[in-house]
Amino acid sequence: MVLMLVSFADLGVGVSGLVTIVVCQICTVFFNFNRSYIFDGAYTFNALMVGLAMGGMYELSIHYLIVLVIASMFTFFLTVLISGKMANAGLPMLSLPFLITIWTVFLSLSNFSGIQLVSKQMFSLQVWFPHLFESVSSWFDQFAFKDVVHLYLRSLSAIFFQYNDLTGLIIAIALLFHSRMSFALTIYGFLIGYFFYHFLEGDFTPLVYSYIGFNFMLTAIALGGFFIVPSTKSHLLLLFVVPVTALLLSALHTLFTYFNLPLFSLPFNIIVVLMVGVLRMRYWSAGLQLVTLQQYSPELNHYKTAYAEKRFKGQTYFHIFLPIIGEWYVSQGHEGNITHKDGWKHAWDFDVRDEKGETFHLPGFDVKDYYCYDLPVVSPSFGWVVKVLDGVQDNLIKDVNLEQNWGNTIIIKHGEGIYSKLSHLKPYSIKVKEGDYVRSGEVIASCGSSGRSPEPHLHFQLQANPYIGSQTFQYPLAHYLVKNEDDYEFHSFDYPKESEVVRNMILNPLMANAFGFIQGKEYIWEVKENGKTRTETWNAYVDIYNKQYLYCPEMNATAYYVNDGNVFYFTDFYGNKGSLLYAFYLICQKMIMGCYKGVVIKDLLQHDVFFNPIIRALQDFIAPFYHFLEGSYETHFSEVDDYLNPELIKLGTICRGKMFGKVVKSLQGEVVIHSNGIQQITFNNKGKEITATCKA
Amino acid sequence: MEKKLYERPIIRPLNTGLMNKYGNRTEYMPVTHIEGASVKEMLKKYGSPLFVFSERQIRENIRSAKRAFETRYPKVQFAWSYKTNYLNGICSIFHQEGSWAEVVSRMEYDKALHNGVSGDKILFNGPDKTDADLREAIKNNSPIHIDHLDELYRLTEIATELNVKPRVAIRVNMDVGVYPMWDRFGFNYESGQAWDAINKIMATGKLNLIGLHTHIGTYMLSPNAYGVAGYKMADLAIGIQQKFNTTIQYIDMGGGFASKNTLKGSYLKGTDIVPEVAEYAEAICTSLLNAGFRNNDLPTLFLETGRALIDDAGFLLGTVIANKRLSDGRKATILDIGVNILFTSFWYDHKISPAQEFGSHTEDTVLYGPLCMNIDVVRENVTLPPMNAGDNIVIHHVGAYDITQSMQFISLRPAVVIVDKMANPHLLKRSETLEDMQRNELVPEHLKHNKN
Repeated sequence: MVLMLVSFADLGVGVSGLVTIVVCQICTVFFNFNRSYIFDGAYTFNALMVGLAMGGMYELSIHYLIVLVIASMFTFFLTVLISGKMANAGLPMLSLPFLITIWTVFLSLSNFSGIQLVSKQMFSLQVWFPHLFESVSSWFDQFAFKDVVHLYLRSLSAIFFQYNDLTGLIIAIALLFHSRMSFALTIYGFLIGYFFYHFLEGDFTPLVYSYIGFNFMLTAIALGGFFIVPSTKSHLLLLFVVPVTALLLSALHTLFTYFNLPLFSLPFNIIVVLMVGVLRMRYWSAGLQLVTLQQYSPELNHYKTAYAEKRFKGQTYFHIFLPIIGEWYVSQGHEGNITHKDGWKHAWDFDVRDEKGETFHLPGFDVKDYYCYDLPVVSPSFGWVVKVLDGVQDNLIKDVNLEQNWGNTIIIKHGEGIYSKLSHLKPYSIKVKEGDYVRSGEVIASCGSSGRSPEPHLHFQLQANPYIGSQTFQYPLAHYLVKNEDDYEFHSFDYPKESEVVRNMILNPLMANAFGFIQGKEYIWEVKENGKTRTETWNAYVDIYNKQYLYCPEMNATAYYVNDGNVFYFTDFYGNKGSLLYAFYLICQKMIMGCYKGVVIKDLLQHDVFFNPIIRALQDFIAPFYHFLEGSYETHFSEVDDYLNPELIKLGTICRGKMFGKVVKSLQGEVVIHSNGIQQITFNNKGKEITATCKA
Repeated sequence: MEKKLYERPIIRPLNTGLMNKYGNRTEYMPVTHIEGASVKEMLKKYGSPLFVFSERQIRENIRSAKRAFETRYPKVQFAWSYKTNYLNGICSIFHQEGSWAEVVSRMEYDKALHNGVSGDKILFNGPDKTDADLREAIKNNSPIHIDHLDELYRLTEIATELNVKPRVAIRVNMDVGVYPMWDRFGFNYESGQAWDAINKIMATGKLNLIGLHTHIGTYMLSPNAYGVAGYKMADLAIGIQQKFNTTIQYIDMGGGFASKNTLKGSYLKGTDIVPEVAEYAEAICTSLLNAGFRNNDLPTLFLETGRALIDDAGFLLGTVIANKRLSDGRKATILDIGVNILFTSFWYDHKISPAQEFGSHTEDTVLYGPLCMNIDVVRENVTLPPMNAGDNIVIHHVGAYDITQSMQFISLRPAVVIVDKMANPHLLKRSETLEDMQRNELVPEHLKHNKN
C-alpha cells in the first residue's frame, strides 16, 4: 500500500502502473491462463514495472497510452514464456521480461519521430511541494556521511524509477516495517558496492541514474535472504558477489551507453540467476541453503528453515525401527570394540539380559539357555527382501564360524541405497524369501547364533548395497525408547548406544485416536476465557499438496500438522493468535502416539509468542548470525490411569521463552485425553487462562 | 581333628542289578541354608515346622517370565493369581513387579484392594460372584470375567439398574487337544456357547466387552495346547472386531504352566520334563502374532500364571520326630510336617533334602506326618540318608497352593518367613495359637458348665 502511494508521487507513474495491471488481467482471462497468477502477482509485476518506468520518463498522452498498452501485452507474453521455462530449471524469472520490453520501447521509439514522447524533468509531487522535498534533503545534510546517506536513499528510490531522498526515506521506513533483514541487507549490499567502487577509485555518483546502487541492494536482498536462507554464510557470499555485480555493471554500462540504453536491473538479474543456478547444481546442498518453500520474507525464510532443520528431521530420513519385540540390550553399539570397526562400525548387536546382566540361565552350555535365542526378529521397516542366506548351523557356545562370518542373514531393501541387514539368525527360522514384501514389525526370523557369533545375539546394520558383507553407513533409527530403572526416554532419529536397554514404541490407541484427526470432521469446542464462553470449531482438512491442517472459521486460524503414525507435530500456524487453535498449537507442538512412563517430549518453539515486537525486531536484525531469543517446548505424561491400556491420559506442557539462554517467559498447558479423543484443553499464559471442553 | 560323623546302622537288601559307575549316591545335597539364611537358626527362632520363601527367587521368576513374553509380544500384562498364594507379603512382591491381581472370590477381591491394588487392576474371575460382589466390582471399575449365563443375566440387570456399563470379559473353554478338557468354567468355543454369550452382550449393549479369558488347565506339560488356545481366542477377538466393530482390549490366556515339581506316577522328574516358561511364551505369542490382527489392534496379552512363578520359591522346613520300622521291614520316619500343611503331597512327590551333613549311605524310607490319621503320608517312598530324631529336613517347591490350601487340623499351622536379598528372614505370618484358632468360636451359655 505504502509503495503504491509512493508511486503516485508522480501522477503519470501511478496511472501507467494501473493501466499495465488492467492489461495483464484482461490478457490472462482472454487467453485462459491460470488466474491465480494474477493474484499472487507472478504475471503482473514485470508489466507493472514497465508501466512505472515508462510513466516516469514520458508525458501522459494518447500516443503514450497506446504504446503502453502494446508494451504491457508484450511484457505479459514474455512473462508467460520466460517464467514457465525458467521455473522448469528452478530459476527465478526476476525482471527479465521488463528489461526486454523497456529496451525494445526505447530503441524503437527513437525511430518513430512522428510520436514525440517528451521526457520529463520533474516529478509532479515534486513540482507541487518543492519545499517538502528540499527540506528532507537538507535535513540529511547535517550528518557526517551525508553523501553516502543521500546516495543510499536515492538509490532506494530508483527502485521506483525516482530519484529523491523523500521517496527513498519512505521506502526505507516501509522496508524496515516489512522486513528488518531486508533493510539491513540493502545497507550491507549498498556499502559493499560503494566501498568496492571507492577501492577501485571508480566514480559512483554520476552513475546513479544508471541504477548502480539499487542493483547492489536488490542483489543483497535476493542472495542474502530471499533465494538463499539468511545466514552468516549468505552474508559472506555477498562480500564476493556484490563486487562481481559491480564489475558486471561497469562492463554492461560501457556496452549499453553505446546504444544509449539504461541498464536498470540487468546486472542484478544476471548475477542472481547465475548464483541460484550454480547453487542448484551442487552435489550436496549443505552450507548455503536455497529457500525451498518461499515465504516472501527473509525473516520467515530464516526462522522457518532454522526450526525446520532441527524440528523436522523425520521428513528427511526413511523411518527405520528396531528389529525386535520387547526390551533388548545393546551389547555392541557403533564403533564397538569387538567387531564393529572400520567399514563396519555403524552396526548394532542386541541380546537379552536378566537383572544380573547375564545373557543366559544356568547351565549356559547350550544356545537354548540364552534368553535371546529363538526370540522373534521383526522387519525394521517396510521393504523388499533382496537376499536370504539360510542353512548355517548355530555354533557351540564360545565357538565362532569365521568361514561364514555373517551366518544366516536377511537383507531388506527399503529404498534406493538403504538396505538393512539382520545376521546370525537361527537356521531354518527364516520365514521370508527373496522378493517378498515385508511390513514394519512383521516377524521374519528368529534370533540365533550362526556365523561369527560366540553366543546368541542379533546383528543389525544399515548399508548402501544389497550384498552380504557390504560396509555399513551411518543412518539413525526413527523412534525408540531407552529404559531407565522403571521409566523411559524417547529418542527420535538417534543411535542406540552400547549398554542401553531399548525397545520400539508401541502405539497407544488413546493417543493415536486423539491426534488422528479425521479429514472432513468438525471438532466443536466450548471455550471459557476471562469468564466468557464462546464456541470454536475446528475443521480437519487436507490441501492439494496433501498437507493436513486444522482450520477454525470463527477465528480464521489455520494450523498445519504432520502425523506420521508415530509422532504428531505441528509445522505451522497462520491467523488469529487469540484462538484456542493457537493455544492447542503451542501445547501440542509435538506428541508421540505411544504412552510410556517418564517420557518427556521436547521440541523447539518459535519465539514470537513470548516477546514483544521491539525485542523481536532486534532479533530479526542479527538472526542470521545469532539467536538470542529461543522458544522451547516440553510435554510429559502427567497422569495416566494405566500405561498398558489407559482410559485417561493427561499431558502437561510447559513452553519457555529464553533470552540469552535464560528463561524469561513461560506458559503452561494441559490436555486431557479420553477414549473418545481430546476432552479438555487448559492453557495458561501470563495469568490469562483458557479452558476448553470438546463438545463434538 | 574334626569329629567324625556318626550314622546309625542301616539294613539294605542286596540288589543284583546292573553295576553302575556312580555307585549308590543320593540325589540330594544337604540344604543347610536358604538364600544364605541358616535352616537350623530359622527353625530355632520361629519354631518347627516353618515355611520359608525366597524373595530373590520370586522376583527372578516374575522378571524372567515377563522377559520371556515381552520379548515375543508387544503388550503383556501379568496378573497375580491370588489363590496360588495370597499371603499379603507375597502378593506385594508381585504388585511391586507390576502385576495386577486376579481374584476368584470376594475375600480375595477385598484382599487385593487391601494390598493397594486399584480396582481397575483387579480381574474378577470365578464362578461365584454374588450380586453384592458384582456391584462392588462395578463400583471399582474392575474387569469382571463372566463364567456362566446366569451371571451374564444378573450382571446385565445390575448394569441396567445402576445405568453404568461395566467392563467385562467372558471366560471361554475349548478343546485344545489335551485330556481332561476343562469345560466346567466359562462358555464353550466349539459348541458356539461363546458366540452365544458374545451376541447377547453385544445385543443388549449394557456391558462393555473388553476382554476374552481362557484357562485351559493346570500343570499343562504341553505348550502346543496354548498355541491352539491362542488361535481360538484370536479367532473370537477378530470375529468380534469384524462382526461388531468392537476392539477386544485384552486376551487373558490364564495360567496353568507347570512348575518344576514331580507329579506322582511320573517316570521322569519335573525338572527334566517341565517346559520352560519361554516355551509356553513362544507358543502363545506366535499364535497371537500370526492370527492376523491389524497392527494397532493387537490385544494386550494377560497372563495369570501362579504356580510356575512361586512354587520353587517356597520351602518347608521340618524336624524328624522319630524313626520306626514297619512290619514289612520298611523304614519309616515321622516328621512334624503333616498333609494338613502340605496338601500338595497328595499329587506331588516333593523333593526332600536333609538339612545337615550326611555320609554316603542311604536307605528307602516312608515319610509320615505327625497327624494321628492314616492318610498322613508325606512321601510313600524316598531315599534318604539315615536320619535321627531332631534332625531337620527341607521340602522343596511348596510355594504354590500349600499356604492357601493348608488347614488347621490336629496341630496348629506354622509360621511363614521370607528371606530377603541380604539373607535376613522376615516374618510373613506368625504361627497360629490356640487363641487364633478359637477366636470365632462361641460356647452357648448352657454348655459352659463343666461337670469335671
